Amino acid sequence: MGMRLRTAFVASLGLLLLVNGIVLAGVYWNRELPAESVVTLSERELSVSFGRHGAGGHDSVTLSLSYRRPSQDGEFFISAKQMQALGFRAEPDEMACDVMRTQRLSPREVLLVIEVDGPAYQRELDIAEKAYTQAAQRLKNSPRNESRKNAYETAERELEYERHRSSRAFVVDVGVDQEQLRERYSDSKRYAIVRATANPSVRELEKKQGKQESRCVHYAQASAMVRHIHVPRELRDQFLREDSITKHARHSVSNAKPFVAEIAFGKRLEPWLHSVKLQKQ
Amino acid sequence: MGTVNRSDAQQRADEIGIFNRELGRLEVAGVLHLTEEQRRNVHQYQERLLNGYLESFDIDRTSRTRHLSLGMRVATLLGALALAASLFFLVEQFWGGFSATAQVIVLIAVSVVTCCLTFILRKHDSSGYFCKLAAMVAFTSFVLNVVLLGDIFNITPSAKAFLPWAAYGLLLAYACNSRLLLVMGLGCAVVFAASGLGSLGGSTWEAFVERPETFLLPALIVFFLPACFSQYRYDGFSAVYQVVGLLGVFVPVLCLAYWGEASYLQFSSEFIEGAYQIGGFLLAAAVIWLGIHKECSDVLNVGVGFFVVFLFVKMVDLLWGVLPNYLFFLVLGGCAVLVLLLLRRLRNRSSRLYGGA
Repeated sequence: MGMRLRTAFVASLGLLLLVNGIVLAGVYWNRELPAESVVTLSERELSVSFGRHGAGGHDSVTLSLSYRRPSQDGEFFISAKQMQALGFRAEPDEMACDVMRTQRLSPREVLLVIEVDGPAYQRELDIAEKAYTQAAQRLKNSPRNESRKNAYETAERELEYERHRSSRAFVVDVGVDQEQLRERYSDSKRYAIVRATANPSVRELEKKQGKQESRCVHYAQASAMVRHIHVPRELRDQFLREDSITKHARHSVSNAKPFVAEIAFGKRLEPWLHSVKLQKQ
Repeated sequence: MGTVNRSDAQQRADEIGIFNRELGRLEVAGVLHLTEEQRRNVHQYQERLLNGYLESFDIDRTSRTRHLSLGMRVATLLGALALAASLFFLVEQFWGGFSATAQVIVLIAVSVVTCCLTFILRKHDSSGYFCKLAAMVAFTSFVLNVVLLGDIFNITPSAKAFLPWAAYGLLLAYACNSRLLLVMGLGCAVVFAASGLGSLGGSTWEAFVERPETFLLPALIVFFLPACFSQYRYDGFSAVYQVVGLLGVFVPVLCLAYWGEASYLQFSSEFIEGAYQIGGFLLAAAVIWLGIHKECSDVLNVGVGFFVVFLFVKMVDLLWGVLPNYLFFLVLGGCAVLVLLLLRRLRNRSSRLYGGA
């Protein structure tokens, strides 16, 4: 091998090993205990996806965290005022759409605080219970009214769904300073901080009477950067047991049996599945 | 002039063939007659030269070997794609059966083994076809290695992966003289740089996808690199740099010409689109001029190609739906004839200028 070729070989091999070393060192550092947060979630917050690779290949399982926004937080995930605090050059108030559309904002990295089975969920449950009680009262006053009967049934279904099926994970805050957020939400078993991308957008408001010009407002949507959590082989077998899922459900988001999983978020806020336990129905 | 790359060696071999054929015709016509000794000297010199080229560059001495070489190049490309796909599906087939530790070991081992295999083949395979094939598989393995590590450990996606991919692609490209890997290496480098520029103001790494202007500077740097670092020893590398650089400029300009919202400029979309449409035509014309002036056919072809694309898209934008279909295509055909006439005029002028050279 010539000198030049030998140098290229050593450089290539060195590059391969260096990159793998850096990646694995990063993973080790992220997963060093204690974790930044460890939250206990169930099939209500984690949707399970199954995949089968090739004919006769092995199954793979991934989990996706589904979270909600408190219904009282208003129309926008992140409002224009919040956007400014996150570093966007967004206009805090409504403006003429023509002007606003020339201010093209780029997506930014933000941190979401996700609360699990906390006050935000309790408030949603209260709202559903209140709606149910009101619907029941109205139906009691006029039991033959068809629309009231329908409203009662809907409220009952929604309460049932809120109690037993809907996700109890809520985005309760958004920021850019991890330390500040952790200080504000110190319970690391209830509040997880996750990295997310905030995508800015412009919404046209309804025209007010007598106004010719259309007015717009900035807002942003946020979605977690790591969308899927890999289930390692050691823990995957629990999901794949014949009695845990129906065969029909295997190749799509499943109707998995109830389970409880501990998801840990490390120093780089990257998640991993810490433990999982199937529950009897 | 000393011969240093395969293209030059091939060109010289072709010229020797042309010279010998013309010499035969001149002798038949009685215009020229070489003595036996002169003929022997010329023949010996040519044989020495051609054998040297054959040994160093695996050139094609006849049109038959040239056709076979072309077939081998196609087979190399298809083989590389097939082997890379095979590797991907092999990993996918058995992937779920491995523990996380075994998965990591398999990923690193496959990358290292394919890298070693590439360099072993590089040493023993004088034609270079097998080595290029192995290099493509090695590159794919490394890409798969990094992507799957990210998948196993739920690593936050970032553009940082493009930097080692670019470095590895370029290392393999230069080691194996592979233009395809050079394209991939440069592509990864441009994406990495564009992402870096796009995230300068605090934006996320993938923001560059919606900001075509971030590609312009890295692509221009790629275009001008061969002017700073001579690629003469590497067959066709200079053209690859120029073509990748030009595509990196033309494609974003074409996007911005009809997608003004994606621009960083704080003007109305209509103004930005109009400016980029005019800019696109001027740029294509400038590139055509540069290609003719520097006698660089690849640059010229990219310039002509994009001039036609800009013209076609603009005509669709203006006339489609306004004119009946037959008239639209008639106008389009007329424009193609105009471009042909313009290019012929340029060619004739060029022939007059450089005809004696």
